Amino acid sequence: MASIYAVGHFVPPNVVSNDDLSKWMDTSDEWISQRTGIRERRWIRRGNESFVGMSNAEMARSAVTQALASRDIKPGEIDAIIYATVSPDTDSPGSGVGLKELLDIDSAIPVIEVRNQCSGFMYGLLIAKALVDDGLNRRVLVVGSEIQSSGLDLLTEGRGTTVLFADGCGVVLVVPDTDAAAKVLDVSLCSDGRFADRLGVKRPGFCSEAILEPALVSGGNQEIYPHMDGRMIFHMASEKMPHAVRSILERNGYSASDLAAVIPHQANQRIIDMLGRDLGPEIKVFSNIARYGNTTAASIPIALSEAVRADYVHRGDLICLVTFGSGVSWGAALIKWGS
Amino acid sequence: MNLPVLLSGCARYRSIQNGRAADYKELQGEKLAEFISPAIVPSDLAPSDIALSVCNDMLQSRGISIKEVDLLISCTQTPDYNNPGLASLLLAKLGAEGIAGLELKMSDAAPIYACRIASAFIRTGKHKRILIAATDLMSRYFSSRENKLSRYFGDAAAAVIVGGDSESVRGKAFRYIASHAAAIGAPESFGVSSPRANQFPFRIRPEDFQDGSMQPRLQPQEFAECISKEAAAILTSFISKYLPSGRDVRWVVCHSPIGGEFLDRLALPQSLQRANLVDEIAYSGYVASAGAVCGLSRLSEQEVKSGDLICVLSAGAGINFGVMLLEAA
Repeated sequence: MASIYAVGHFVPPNVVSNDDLSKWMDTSDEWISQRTGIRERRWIRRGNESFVGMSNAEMARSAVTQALASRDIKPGEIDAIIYATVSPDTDSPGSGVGLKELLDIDSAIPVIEVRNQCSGFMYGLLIAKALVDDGLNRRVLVVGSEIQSSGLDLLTEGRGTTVLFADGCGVVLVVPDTDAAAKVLDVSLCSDGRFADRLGVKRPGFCSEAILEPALVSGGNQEIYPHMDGRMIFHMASEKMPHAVRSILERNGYSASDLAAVIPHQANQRIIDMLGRDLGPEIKVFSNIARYGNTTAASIPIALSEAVRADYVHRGDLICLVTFGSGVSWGAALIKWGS
Repeated sequence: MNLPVLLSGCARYRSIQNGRAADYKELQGEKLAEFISPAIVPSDLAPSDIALSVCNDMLQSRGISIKEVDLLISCTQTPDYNNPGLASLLLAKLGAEGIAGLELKMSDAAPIYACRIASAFIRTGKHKRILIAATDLMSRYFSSRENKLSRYFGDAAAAVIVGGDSESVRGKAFRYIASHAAAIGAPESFGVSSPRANQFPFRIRPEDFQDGSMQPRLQPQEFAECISKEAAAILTSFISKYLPSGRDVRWVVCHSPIGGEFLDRLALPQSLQRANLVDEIAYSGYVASAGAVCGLSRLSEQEVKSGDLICVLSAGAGINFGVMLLEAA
């Protein structure tokens, strides 16, 4: 059975506090922290003045290096890369081949680019599990990595989403079952495209003849920035995430009382709190959103990596990863933790 | 040999303007197929519209409902919107609520990756019936036809069902034997630079429209050399490993941005040299993710006999190269 053998993460060193944001737009630490739980985030971007100068794939290299070092594995042993992002270094071919080059992997290996927004990492885990369980691959790297800061509006018009999103990368290495690894028992994902227009970025896109007009860039048109129906997304996430946890537990013959911890997508502290209340006080629900904000596809693997390093999960623990994101999509993964 | 996975119902979008059916032989020897009149979808149709059309046609001809599909894999590099991807929109238009929609962006090789992933899902029992929709409106990268590449970049969509070997099928179907897909190098030889997330202060700068960063760039020589050096070796090894002993491949379906030179550079093994060729570039122009599945759809209209072996070859941005071996059911 496919198992997670190593985890790693990287966040840019540049800390952007809520007070920093209030210098660029009409907002405040109180407003942001009360509504989202976010106190600061990590950005590659330093306001409008400078740029840390790191690519998406370079962040991934740092996270991969941490993960592989923890198990004394060489990059050359990786036999597939699954790269989930909505913010690649180039439109095409994306960031996966760039990571392969940065890791000096000379052999021709599969590089799979996944575009499923906040649920991208979970889709990557779903693919990795199938490839390993089918015997096609033995060392599959699943990457969730985002540079959201370069796609955000620093003016007041954009504050509804700009305060939420952030940069970072998390990775897991999926291998066939070993004693020391965490068994991926199941991954189950769902979507409902009727709500696709409630969260996303419209342009550039190919739904009309011109993918983007120059005026939209120079004029600061909101179509190139994220839009969100916050109330609807909050409502749906609060309903779908607990349901996804309970469904995957039931499907695999477990109940909530068997669960040691939940590692949720970090979208909003109020959603995480509602998830915790729904599942019961005896279940730990991991949160790092106060420090990192919403890092989209990177959020779950960053949280998992931090949880492992903080001794939050223990051998034999049953843990559940749970996601919700634009599309809308949601789902969960059930993992039996190893040593 | 265990052959549990079946590809069936191959279909392609048909209502396209300006396309013309060129004889593939006409293409041989042409390095960039400049004479092709690419297929162009009317501007009032979005990628998800033509994907919907072909999926509905395919499901109808295959006699199944979308409710009997338990996963969508969408292959595209030209989605309607930046976020969310085409998969979500297509599922909504198909009336499919609840099922997952995976979106892959690996250019020409995406459908081969998709079939490989789908076959793994089927064989491990994770999914029972998977819809693969491959859609690209490559013409929309260009605001005019002045760019040399724009003269053969076209639009297309195609779909196929991947399921278990045991299901009853109307029309032609192909048993999945094996596939291989990998990034083989030369990433700078083909791709689109902008938008790029690590560009400051904006992912797209006004000057990107002037310097071509928003449009595909192709270095055909470098692309072709990588095919000669890396892909040819993979193909030779793949064929020697998976081709049933003593048999030849009867059909080759291929797609890449370098037209006829792709097969020249691959130096086809002897067992493929007498195969009949189907390259979508001759019909629709260069259509990236849609090319290989459109080719399978055209193959379904040929005199394919049960037991015929089919080799699907594609290479695109990355360079991601894919090869898949099928047998006509």
